Amino acid sequence: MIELLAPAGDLERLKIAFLYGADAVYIGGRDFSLRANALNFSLEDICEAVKIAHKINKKVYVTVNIVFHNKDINGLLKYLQKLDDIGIDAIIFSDMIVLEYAKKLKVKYELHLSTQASTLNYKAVEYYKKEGVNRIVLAREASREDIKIIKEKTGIELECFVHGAMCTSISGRCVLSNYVTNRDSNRGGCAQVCRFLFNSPLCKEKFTIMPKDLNMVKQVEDMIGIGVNSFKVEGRMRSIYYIATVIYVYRNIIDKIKQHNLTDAYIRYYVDILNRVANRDSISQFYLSLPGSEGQYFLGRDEITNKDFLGVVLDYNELDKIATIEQRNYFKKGDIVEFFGPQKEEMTYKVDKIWNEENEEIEVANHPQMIVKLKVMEKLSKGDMMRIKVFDKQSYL
Amino acid sequence: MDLELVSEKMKNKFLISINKLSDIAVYKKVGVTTFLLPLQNFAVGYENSFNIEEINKYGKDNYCLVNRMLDCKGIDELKNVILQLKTIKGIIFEDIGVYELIKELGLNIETIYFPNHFNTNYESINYFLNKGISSAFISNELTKEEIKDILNNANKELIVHVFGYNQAMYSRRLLLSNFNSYYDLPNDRMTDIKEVHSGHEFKVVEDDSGTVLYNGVIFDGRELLHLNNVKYFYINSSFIEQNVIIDFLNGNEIANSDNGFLDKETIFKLRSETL
Repeated sequence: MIELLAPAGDLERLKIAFLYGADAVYIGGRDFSLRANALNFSLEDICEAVKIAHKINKKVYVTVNIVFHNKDINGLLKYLQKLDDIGIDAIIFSDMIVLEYAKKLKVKYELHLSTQASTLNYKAVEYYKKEGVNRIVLAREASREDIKIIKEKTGIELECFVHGAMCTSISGRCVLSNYVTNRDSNRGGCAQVCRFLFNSPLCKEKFTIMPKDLNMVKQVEDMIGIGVNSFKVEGRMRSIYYIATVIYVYRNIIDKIKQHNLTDAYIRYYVDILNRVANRDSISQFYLSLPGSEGQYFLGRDEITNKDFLGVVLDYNELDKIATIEQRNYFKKGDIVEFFGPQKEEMTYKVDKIWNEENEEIEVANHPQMIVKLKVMEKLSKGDMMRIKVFDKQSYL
Repeated sequence: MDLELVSEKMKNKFLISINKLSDIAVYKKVGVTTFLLPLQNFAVGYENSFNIEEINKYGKDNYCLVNRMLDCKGIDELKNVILQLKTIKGIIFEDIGVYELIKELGLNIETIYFPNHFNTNYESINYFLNKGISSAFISNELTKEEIKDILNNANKELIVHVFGYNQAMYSRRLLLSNFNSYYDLPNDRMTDIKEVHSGHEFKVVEDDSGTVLYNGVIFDGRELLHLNNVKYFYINSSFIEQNVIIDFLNGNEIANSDNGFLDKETIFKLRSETL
């Protein structure tokens, strides 16, 4: 089984993730989930998410992954039962109280051990497997060799992160946030102190201790070969554009691997696309060797969001070839842009004319979320996205 | 000299990590009887670690520390090493794979679970104790009331930190080597860093297994010493002069120390529940 697993911070992101090719999503409830300060899903939202997913044969995993203090346990049993009643497909947890309660309830959903448990060796996996864990989300520090050995020795389902932000620490093994901001990192309050600026007597410059992002585009084929089952993208708090772009790329990578037509040229193109969408450098981190200084950022970075995301297609009329678009960033007549969407190749487009909602011709789309119309001869679909054309795919191929 | 803390009643209740083997005799003189010896190549973030021969010589009735998160090669190497440890009372470990290994080998030693930031509630701790684990360390990031509640509800005696630098982060990355390489600096493997806005200091220690950041202020949890259901009160002596540890044992005030989170509950939700 090969699964592309996407993050979803809300129902809109969930729909986008599925639309762009995710096989499953992981979501957080309002309680018991890290990313405590994301909007997250109410029980009603989870119910809706499951309905949407199961209708199209996809899955929903719910994170119940905080490290519980005594008082946090109140309501956990009831919550786990409700998730079972709703019919979710799995929970992702790290604290063994969750496993105990789920077993006590004889829940129907699967039990996936979170990366927060820092699993890196087959003996630990043997322990968890005997305890009834169905899947292990390995620590991001797991090397190719570790993954291979764990699969060979235990046969358990393995989920590995393939893309997104990394912790400086082994996940879960950090409470810098508790000390600097009094926000509990293992209960969802992480303030990402590793991305703050530090100084040291060793050096005059201020520096960070943050890592670059993870990007496994080049390794997906090898990971499939050594037995990884689920390819997980980080980022429950990321935008719909980010999710669409990253899931689009990994869906294409996996499909091309299955069709035996993934080339180095495609990989180079996709790496550039991914680095651009995150506005950060990304590397394969621990997969092939222990990352050195090239795996980190030392200088403070201003992560200025780029304005690549121009709009999302709301509707396309095949008769008059008019696409209705919700604007997300400024664009104007004469711009060369690109459309991309589920199960279609990127399409270059020159903006010749723009109409507003009143069908008046305008020069620029300059109001956030304004509705505009473009004449596009190639068929578009609801949910397709429009971005600045930065990389010319043809020049890579 | 006030020796109240190391009274007959208390002396068997301290567990002290060892920086130099010669320190053991000094601690024994003041009545402490149980020590923790970090195992070479399998311990991370401690001031010193000891090889098999040293642990076999000094480890009788003491504990051995294996606090690395182990990869597959590491767990295989540990298997060979554990079989050569002859005298220890038990192993204190962070990786649950170590417990599985000890069970597989059928070793008749105590197993003590020390996952740093994870033992934060009594139900999870009891889960491990019910599985056969001998004891567990309680996390450092808890209030006094939370610790008391855990102790009152735990099925077995637990271990409580009372003194030393508190671990704040463990990374597999060689953060100092990487930093030194990037800035072309000599490869010191220990330094202090300060977060710019808060001024909060951390002690950074690196070895080949990774990097550990400690809170820059010594944790002094003497107010926990009266609690019940405690197997040991733990003193991590790393990077602290022995005379300071003796001062603590003697009940003296310690400079540059605080009581961590004992009176300071951490928060995690910044938003309203009604969102």
